[in-house]
Amino acid sequence: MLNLMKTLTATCGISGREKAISDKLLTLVAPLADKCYNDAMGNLIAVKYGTAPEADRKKVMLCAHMDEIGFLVTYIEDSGFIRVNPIGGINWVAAAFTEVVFGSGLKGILVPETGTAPADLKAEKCYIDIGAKDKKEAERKVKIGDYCALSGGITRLLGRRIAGRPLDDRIGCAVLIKIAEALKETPVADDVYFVFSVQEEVGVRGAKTATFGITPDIGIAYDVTGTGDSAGAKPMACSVGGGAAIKLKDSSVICDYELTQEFAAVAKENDIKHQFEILAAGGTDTSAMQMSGAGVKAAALSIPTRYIHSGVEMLDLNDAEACVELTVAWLRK
Amino acid sequence: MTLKELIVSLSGIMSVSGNERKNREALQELIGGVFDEYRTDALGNHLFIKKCGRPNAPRILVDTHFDEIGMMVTDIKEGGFVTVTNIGGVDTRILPASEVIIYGGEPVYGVFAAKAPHLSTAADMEKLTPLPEMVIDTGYSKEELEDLCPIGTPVGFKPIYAELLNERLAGKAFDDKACGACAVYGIDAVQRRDLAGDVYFLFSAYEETGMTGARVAGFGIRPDYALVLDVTHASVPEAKDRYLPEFGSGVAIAASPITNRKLTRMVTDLCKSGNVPFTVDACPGSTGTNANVLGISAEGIPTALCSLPLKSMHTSAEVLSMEDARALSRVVSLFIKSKEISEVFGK
Amino acid sequence: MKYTGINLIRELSLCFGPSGCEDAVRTLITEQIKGDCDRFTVDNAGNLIAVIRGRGHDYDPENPRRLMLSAHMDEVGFMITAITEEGYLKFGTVGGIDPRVMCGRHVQVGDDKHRVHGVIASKAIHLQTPEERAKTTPVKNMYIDIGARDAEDAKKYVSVGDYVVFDSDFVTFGKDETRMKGKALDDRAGCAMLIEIMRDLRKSPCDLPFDVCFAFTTCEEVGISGANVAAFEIKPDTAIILEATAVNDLPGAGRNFVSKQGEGGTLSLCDRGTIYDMGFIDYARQTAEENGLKVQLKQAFTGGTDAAHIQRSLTGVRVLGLSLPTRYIHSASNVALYEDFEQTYRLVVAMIRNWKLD
Repeated sequence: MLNLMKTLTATCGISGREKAISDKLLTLVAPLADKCYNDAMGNLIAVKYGTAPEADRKKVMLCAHMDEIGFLVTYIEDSGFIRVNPIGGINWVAAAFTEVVFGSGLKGILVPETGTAPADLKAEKCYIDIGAKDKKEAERKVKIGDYCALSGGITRLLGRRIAGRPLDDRIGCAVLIKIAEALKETPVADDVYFVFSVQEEVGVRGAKTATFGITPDIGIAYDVTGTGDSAGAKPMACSVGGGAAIKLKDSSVICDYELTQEFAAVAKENDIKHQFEILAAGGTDTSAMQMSGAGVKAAALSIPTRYIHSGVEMLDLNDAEACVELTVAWLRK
Repeated sequence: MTLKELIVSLSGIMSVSGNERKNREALQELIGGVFDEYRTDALGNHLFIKKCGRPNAPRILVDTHFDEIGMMVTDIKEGGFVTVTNIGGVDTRILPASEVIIYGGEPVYGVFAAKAPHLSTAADMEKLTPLPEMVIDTGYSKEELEDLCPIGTPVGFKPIYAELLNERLAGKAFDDKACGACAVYGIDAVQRRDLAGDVYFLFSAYEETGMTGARVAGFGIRPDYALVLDVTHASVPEAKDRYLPEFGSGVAIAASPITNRKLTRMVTDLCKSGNVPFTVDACPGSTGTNANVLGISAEGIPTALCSLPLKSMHTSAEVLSMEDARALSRVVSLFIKSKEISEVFGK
Repeated sequence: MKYTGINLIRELSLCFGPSGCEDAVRTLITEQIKGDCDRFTVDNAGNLIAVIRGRGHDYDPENPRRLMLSAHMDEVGFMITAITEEGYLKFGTVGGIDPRVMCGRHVQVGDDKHRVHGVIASKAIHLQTPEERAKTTPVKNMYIDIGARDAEDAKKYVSVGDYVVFDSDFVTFGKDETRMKGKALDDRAGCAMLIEIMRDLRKSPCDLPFDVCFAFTTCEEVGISGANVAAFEIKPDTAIILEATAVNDLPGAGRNFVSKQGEGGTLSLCDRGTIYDMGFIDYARQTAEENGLKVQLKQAFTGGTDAAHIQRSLTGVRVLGLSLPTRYIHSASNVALYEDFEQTYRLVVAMIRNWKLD
């Protein structure tokens, strides 16, 4: 899991510009699946057919988003400084004074205008310095519409905890790949669709079309969730290291009650560490799946994560592995 | 059962968004007899069908939402206290010292804690405690509660119903089950042979949390046209400048960019010819109801919206007028009988 | 009567058509496109959809690919919410209108068939307090005066739920009269482009490997858009959304400018509703270059278009947002350049005639 996360956090792919991360995921998932394809919006879909007779197989969609938050270039100044617009919910305090990497691999630094108070940090007050002498030199490397993100990568902390970015939601992608590996070894009865969705960070857009195309019977999302265990956090009965978080509700969805109870029962039976999660603010692909077409039974398993949308997102790999185990055990039932 | 009794019985069923399936049997027992067929779907929408008996008849959708606002247990504290989060738009002003039911394995009665005035300063009393900081006092131990009502258990206002003067009713969850009762009553009043088509009565899920139920039900049912019933704010002293409908003014028919103009005009004509009192409720932006999502569902469903004026919406003491409720049930009867409408909008 | 060019834009601009009441616009467009397409229909959401079928050896008549071109017919406006005892009309906005452009405007009140003239009244400057003078009047304090004596008199002419649009004539001005001023250029200019594109494709037919579906849509301005329904029915593979977009090229705009008039149509990179397809944008820019047409990138991420609904319909659609740079949109006086209009629709024609999007 650690090595997989190293690989997955090394590629940049902001919402709407997911080609590179999609290609990387394809190389990882293709050997594990029966069929892989990208849809019109760019969602990567990998199918593993079940062992039951075709008529008896249900379609189960497992979905993690592969996009990350980042920036699009909007303007290049005479000085060679680059102005950007945020894509997704940028935490400007976390973004200021950090290294960024462009889709081309070019590096730069994101800095605020001198004298900007932390509370005033926003897109208009920040720019990217790529070291260009002037506009002309900058324009040889960067053009309007190019994208960049805070540099990726992870650091090992104590135990099995890691910090870095973008853990949101490459950890979900890693969980999906681990599930696919397990199913490759011992297949299950139902068809499983692994969906690496696009444009989640800008409003769960990709999962919507992917779900419509698949028309699954059940949809499960895998994403990070906030926790109540960082200093100063609002009360929330969910913690890093507390196991797979079975989502009951976030601000976009109330999960299917029967599914959440099934997951809790399977976790108990198999002695898999788990907890319930009620996220006060934040949405996931779960809602997009639930309201697709004539409706889909939807739930989510979350990986508790501190400092989400910063350069030092932090989680425990044991929680992610609990999500893998729980899903595999549930699929086997 | 009278319309009044049906309103109270339906509104008393716990159906906090996300729990629409839980009391299906009670719901079917109450209203199933009016219909020929029952269906449900992946989201827990309840669909009741009354057939007109003719083949290839138009599909007429009548939608009211079954879910109600409420709360969900988020944590259990030492001393038998429970914290909650809101499901839908809960008015936190009414919570201190209010009675609730925690719908666990068995119902747990509780009271929202409130600081005694003797212990509060005048400045304290002006402030509202945010919901996540409020607690419900249950009288059980933490361990017992973890078993009785774990995290995720729904919480609702204790159902207390009373009749006020002039046939006005006070209670919880009239939004939108009072409209549901009017729909069932109105559908029951029409003889099968008088129906202009097959009537699909949708008691939809998840309206209060984003109109999700109607969105997918519209796609699944593909009706030819639809009538949405929901509540609207009635005129109250503190909102005179909003020109809201008065109690006793009948049905509020929505004029909005989203609802179908022709269908709305025909509903208005039905009211005029049927002597049903009505007012026009102009909604220049969004209607805030399932009409928003049904109109653009799949191939588009021509939709009209009729509302029941309601006071103190989203509290444990909503107030409605039976006069208006009866008018609403009559509109439903006229709508599903209307040959004019089925000729224009039926396939 | 068939109109072309600036006269077509004029007639469309003058048409009464706030969101949900697009009937008059639809009637006018129907007259204009008769004979210029293979078929047209009106759907449940009021969208008018016209089709020019593909042909030639790359065209699969059994399972044709489809290009959707979309422009919305509706305009921003108001709706009457109450009639006061004195016979004044209270109103709310249909779509987003800045209260600063409302006071003192002439308006039409009614529907597609019957209308009366009114003005959005504003307390005389002499009667305002110094605080009131410094601030915008909130909409809830405004009212429309149609000259009625009292409520009873007013109700003879108007009802609660009636629509209101700006009453604004269509004017050409500036050097060589190339600037156009009128209401509702957002998005009647887009509708006019669709008609011009259709006629061009009809005039000198070419072998299109796909069907071109022209969608004149409803209710874009209120967000619950008819384009959802149009896209569901058309089932397009690709879509081009033609809009009139905001311009901020006034003095002092600096790096906050959105796009410039006189530089051709604007291509959207990203707005509040959509991140646009980069390959599609590149294709548009390349086509412009090959054909000597002007096109520019929209450098602001504000606003939103029907692309949001179309992109995410069904299993997903590749979308391109191309707009006429228009000043003072959502007011009674939209201003655009006719040459930008021509550059914009000609680019779409060039893209269609030599389709190379991979």
